[in-house]
Amino acid sequence: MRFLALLKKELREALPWLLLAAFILAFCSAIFIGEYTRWRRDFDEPATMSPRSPVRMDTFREELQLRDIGTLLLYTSCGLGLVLAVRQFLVPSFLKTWAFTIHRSTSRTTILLGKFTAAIIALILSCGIIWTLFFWYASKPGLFPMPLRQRTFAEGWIIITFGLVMYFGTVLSALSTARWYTTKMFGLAFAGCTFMLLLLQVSLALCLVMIIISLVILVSQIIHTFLNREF
Amino acid sequence: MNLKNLTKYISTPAKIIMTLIIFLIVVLVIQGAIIGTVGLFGPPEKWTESPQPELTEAQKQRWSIRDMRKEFLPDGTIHLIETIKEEGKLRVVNVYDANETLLWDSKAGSNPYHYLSWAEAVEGGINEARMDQLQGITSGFSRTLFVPVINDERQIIQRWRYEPGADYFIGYDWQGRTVGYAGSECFIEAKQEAKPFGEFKRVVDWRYRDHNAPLLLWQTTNRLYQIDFEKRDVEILLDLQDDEIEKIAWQNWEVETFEPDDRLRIFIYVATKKGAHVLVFRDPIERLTINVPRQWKGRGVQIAALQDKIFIKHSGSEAEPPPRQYWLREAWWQEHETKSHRTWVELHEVKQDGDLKFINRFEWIRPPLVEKFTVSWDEPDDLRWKTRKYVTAVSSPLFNPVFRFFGGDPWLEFDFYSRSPWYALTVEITRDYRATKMVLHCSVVVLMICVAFWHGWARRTSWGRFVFWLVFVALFNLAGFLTYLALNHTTVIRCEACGKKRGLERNDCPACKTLLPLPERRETDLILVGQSNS
Repeated sequence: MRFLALLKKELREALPWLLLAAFILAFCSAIFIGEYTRWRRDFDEPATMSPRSPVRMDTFREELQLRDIGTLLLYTSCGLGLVLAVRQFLVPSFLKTWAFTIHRSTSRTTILLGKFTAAIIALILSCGIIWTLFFWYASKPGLFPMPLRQRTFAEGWIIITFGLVMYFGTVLSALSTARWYTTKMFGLAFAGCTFMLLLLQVSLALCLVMIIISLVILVSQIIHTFLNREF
Repeated sequence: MNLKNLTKYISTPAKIIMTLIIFLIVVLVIQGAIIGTVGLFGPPEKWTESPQPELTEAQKQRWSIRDMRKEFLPDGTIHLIETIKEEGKLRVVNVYDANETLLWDSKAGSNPYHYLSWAEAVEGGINEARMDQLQGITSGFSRTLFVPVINDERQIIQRWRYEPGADYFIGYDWQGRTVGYAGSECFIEAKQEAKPFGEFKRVVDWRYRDHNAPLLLWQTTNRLYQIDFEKRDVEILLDLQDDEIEKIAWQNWEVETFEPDDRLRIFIYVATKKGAHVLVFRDPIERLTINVPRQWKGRGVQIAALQDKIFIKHSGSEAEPPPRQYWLREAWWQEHETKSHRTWVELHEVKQDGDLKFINRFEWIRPPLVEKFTVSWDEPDDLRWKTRKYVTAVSSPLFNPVFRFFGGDPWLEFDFYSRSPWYALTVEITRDYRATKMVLHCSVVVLMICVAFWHGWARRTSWGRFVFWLVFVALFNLAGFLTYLALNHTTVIRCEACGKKRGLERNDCPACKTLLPLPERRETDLILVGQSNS
């Protein structure tokens, strides 16, 4: 019950950001897809081959209908992860309310779990659900020249999971007692490094393994720091 | 064991790994920035060419023969072609016979002799590395290939998309409905029956002359396919079973695109890793395995096929090829390039059963390269090189063995970009940032260990931990030292008993074992009950 109460409180605090992220993602995705379908109706139905010769294989590359939405998804999930971490861990430090939170009749583990669960739910609701609905809509025959690939769906979820890495990186930075010019920002820097290494991946499984390793590295430090540090 | 204790064992190594990764990247970025800044603002690069030795007339003659192109006429006659002048498209040549008698001299284009035309290596298109790049996970999502099928009105009526995981094509009509699958066996309508092509290596394409519908030559590790999406035809041109394709050359194969030379047959030549040489002819598809002597190397073999005869040219030499390992290159140069080598080119006719019939041979002495070229093994006297040498002194000592293990000799092979992005990144980083000035590098490593020793001595909590950090600093040099410092720097005080410096991480002084002093108990010190000295 205490956990549920904490979770409700965290979700209530995250709600404005969650709605904002969902709105931005849904609104911009609708614009992108509307623009694309209008363009295609005007110029590409049934698609006319461009006058240039397809003799070079490079011109056969798949059209990037989703490029803008992928970038938007990345920014939204990372932004939401960052904002939630700041809201949950940095704002109480500034407002000096940690003592009130910690000295409730709940364990620190429960408090931490409540915050993590709220962040994960927020990411799933605002980015995951919108992405899934968008993908389901975009996969209908006739909207795009070819149905979207299942791999694209999985990649979208990996991008959303990267928002979680960004969240945990920010949490670690927020919880660190080091000075900002020493190792305080290392959590965030590590999230950035993870992103760079993700760009080197071709295999989805490797991507997932890399994200899991990053999460283990970050979460273990967060738990250790949160359970041991003084507020 | 509760969560608090459990996370201690995971979070400590996690923190070390995280900090090390960040510092390794930071050190690399700073090194790169220094080298780049010197390259940008430093003095221009100096190219000091070594003075080339003056050749005698006899030497000039030998070099002249070496540099001439050796071409065969269909009857087996050999001609030596010397380029006199080359300006843009204009090329003036002298044509000699095997006895070096001048036969003809003028522009290359008006040469009256029609030499054998050799099949050209299949290049371009999309290779394995390019396909991997397309598959890379970015914010714009990964991509793959699609091949359009175009009607007479230049409209795309179907799209065939390659699915890299499943390794077959899926076809869609213009409304996005699935129309079929193209796998290794044929075009089919049921997904369950679609078979993968095999490990992808390269695809090249050409098109029908009168419209834009493309055809593909699809190469896997051991198979070669021709795919025609318009006619819905997948043809296995060659299946090597347990052998692998090493090299492919073709002649006239893209007949749909270009006006073919009627004198020449249409064929693809495949050299395999196990040393087989196979020809695949078209219309109808026929295969011929050439029985080539075992000692011939694949790279020195070329094929020409006229309508009635097939020829094979073999270029050979007694010279040893340069070693793969770059550190053996100087010894190889001294051993082999100071001597002359017998070199030859042979023409054979390939009979219908694949056996060879000797036609002609031309042999010459390849002069030693040192006669004409002076190679300096000294490092260049350039600010960039010097900067790199000094800056890389702080790199991890592990870079050198890692480079040797993964890199081999990328300067010779140039193939590391065709591997995985991880491989390319490892090779590039270790190649560019490994230490080259070993005395300085070792001095820096020792210095780092000494500073870490000096810093850690007063702060040591256990011998195991102290030694671990010294080894860690030795392995990662500056990045290791910064990691050590970030995770171990604590305030030190002077021990009240022995007067030596000590950290506050352990209760007793590492020198005299005296416990940390506790504050004197006062009236209000209720929270220290049970922990006082009394």
